[in-house]
Amino acid sequence: METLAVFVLSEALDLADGDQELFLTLANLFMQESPKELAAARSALARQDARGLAEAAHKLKGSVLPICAPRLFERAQRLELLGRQGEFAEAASVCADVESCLAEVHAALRNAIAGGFPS
Amino acid sequence: MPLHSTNGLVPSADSTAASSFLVATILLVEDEPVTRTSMAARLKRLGHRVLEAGNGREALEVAGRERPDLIIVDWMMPEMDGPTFCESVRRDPTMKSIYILLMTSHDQPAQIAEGLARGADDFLSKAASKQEITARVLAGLRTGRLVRELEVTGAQLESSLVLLQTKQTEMEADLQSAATFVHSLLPQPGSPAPGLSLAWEYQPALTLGGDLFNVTAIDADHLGLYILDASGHGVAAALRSASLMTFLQVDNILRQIGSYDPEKVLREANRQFPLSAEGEYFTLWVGQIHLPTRMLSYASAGHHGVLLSPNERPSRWLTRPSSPLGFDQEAVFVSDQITLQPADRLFLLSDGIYEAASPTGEPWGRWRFQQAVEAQQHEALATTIAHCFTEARRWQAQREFLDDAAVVGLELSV
Amino acid sequence: MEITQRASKDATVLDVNGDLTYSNRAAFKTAVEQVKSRNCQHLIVNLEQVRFVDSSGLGLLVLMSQSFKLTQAKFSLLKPQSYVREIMCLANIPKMIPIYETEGDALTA
Repeated sequence: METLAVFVLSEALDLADGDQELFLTLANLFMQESPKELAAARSALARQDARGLAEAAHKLKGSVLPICAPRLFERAQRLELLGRQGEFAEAASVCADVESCLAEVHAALRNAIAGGFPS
Repeated sequence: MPLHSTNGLVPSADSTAASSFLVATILLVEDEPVTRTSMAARLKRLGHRVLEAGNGREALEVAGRERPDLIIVDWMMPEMDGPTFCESVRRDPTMKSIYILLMTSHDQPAQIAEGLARGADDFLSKAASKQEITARVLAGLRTGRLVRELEVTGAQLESSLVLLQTKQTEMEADLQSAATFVHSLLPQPGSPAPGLSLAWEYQPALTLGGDLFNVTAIDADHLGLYILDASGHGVAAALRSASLMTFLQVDNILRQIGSYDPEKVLREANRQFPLSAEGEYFTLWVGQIHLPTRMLSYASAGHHGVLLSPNERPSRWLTRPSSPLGFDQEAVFVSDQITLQPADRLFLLSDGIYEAASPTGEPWGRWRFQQAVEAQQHEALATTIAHCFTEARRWQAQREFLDDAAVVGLELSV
Repeated sequence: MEITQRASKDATVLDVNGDLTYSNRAAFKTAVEQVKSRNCQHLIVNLEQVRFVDSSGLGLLVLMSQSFKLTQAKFSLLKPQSYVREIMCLANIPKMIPIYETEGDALTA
């Protein structure tokens, strides 16, 4: 798990077909949207709403794809699966993982945006 | 040559097709904004016009209004998921043929099967490469275009069919009025002259028949009669028959020939009605009865369907080998004479009745007609004729005749 | 209907198999016109395998013989079956078109 990268800029740019401006738009959008999904996952977990948890995790997972953040993607995927299975005990710990991974990704994105891109 | 020359430089069919692919309208349905924004941008870069919808209901509304060429829809969405959306589109007759790509991270065969069963045409992974998106979208647009062309062709065929049916109705009405006219020229059953009675039955294979006949007074002492049979089938044959019938009208014959002498009538008809370019022609039998002496003169141009059925004696065919009209410009037609006796019956028939074929292809035959007539000698004339039709129909095992079937009966009173 | 074309000495023979009727008239006409367009001097139509000739078929045979006559070429019929022969005799066909019983007779005529 530790072998998975937090964020791979080159792949993200590839997925944006090399369009830096598009990537910037997507990164900003992700930073704006992903906290909402995390909050939705947390609240579903709190009220033991398996379906709500799976849906929130799924949506977060989907938003991670264009950003290319493998570690966060893997955790979100795991959380979605646990939500589907109603495994709330393990889900609580994975949800904490997701939160910290998300923070890492946000930091990496801010860094990338501030530092500019290799041309 | 300047590129924007006004005379020439028509874009090739290929470049037209390629550019129309590029301006395709694609509806993207995805609730998750990052993925939606990403996919929309990538599609726009490929040259497409992209409409976006955040949920299934909104998407149905946009699709109904904009009729996109292609829809890309996410599988998992709250409220209405992708497969349910596909089902809704397929149920709408105005949208049912829009090509749909179901966007998913699923790659389980069972799920793919479910997606296809519920109306998706193909799948697209959210993490697809630029090449894969390009390929799947192009394939989808191409298929969608073919489907639409088929639908348009189908619709055109349908409207052509409607047009054709209208034309056919008009033509049938025209034919019907032509038939009414031609049939008005056929003789009235009853008594065409003192001491004679006439009955006939006629079953044209089409509205307008190609076999025609007449029994008509020429002057106070003479009765003229004929039966003609056009070779070939259909409207063309019927129209040629109508023109021969016009030629055979008493006024015209007297004007052109001076008398209704059968051999002279045939000689003139042979001159005026040559073989058509398709090899079509007439057979014609013409007779003239001198009423005071009951003398029948007759001549035939290849028509063999005239039977004399005397009372209490065997019947015989009034014919001899002869050329149909138009076969031979040098043909000589010879009149024969016979004195009719009281109660004699004369039958003029077209080959449609005796060539009626059994299911195994055997014609009913002139001799079976002869038998039927002889067996019915004591029945009323009309009954005898009806009996012949019944027998011929029984023989061919169907009601309708493939060729015109006519039987004309003339009976001398006792 | 099946039509096979073959050469026999100086003549071309069309072996017709099947009925010569209204519905087959186009195929027969095409076959004869093809032979004629190759400047054939003698066409023999072999009717041995023809069971039935209707009025359209009869007209077509006469039409074809008339068109051969126009170019001084010969047009003959070979071995019609009895029913077909009877139809032809009733229509005086033998007066217009020579009918032969053997291919040899047709060729030496």
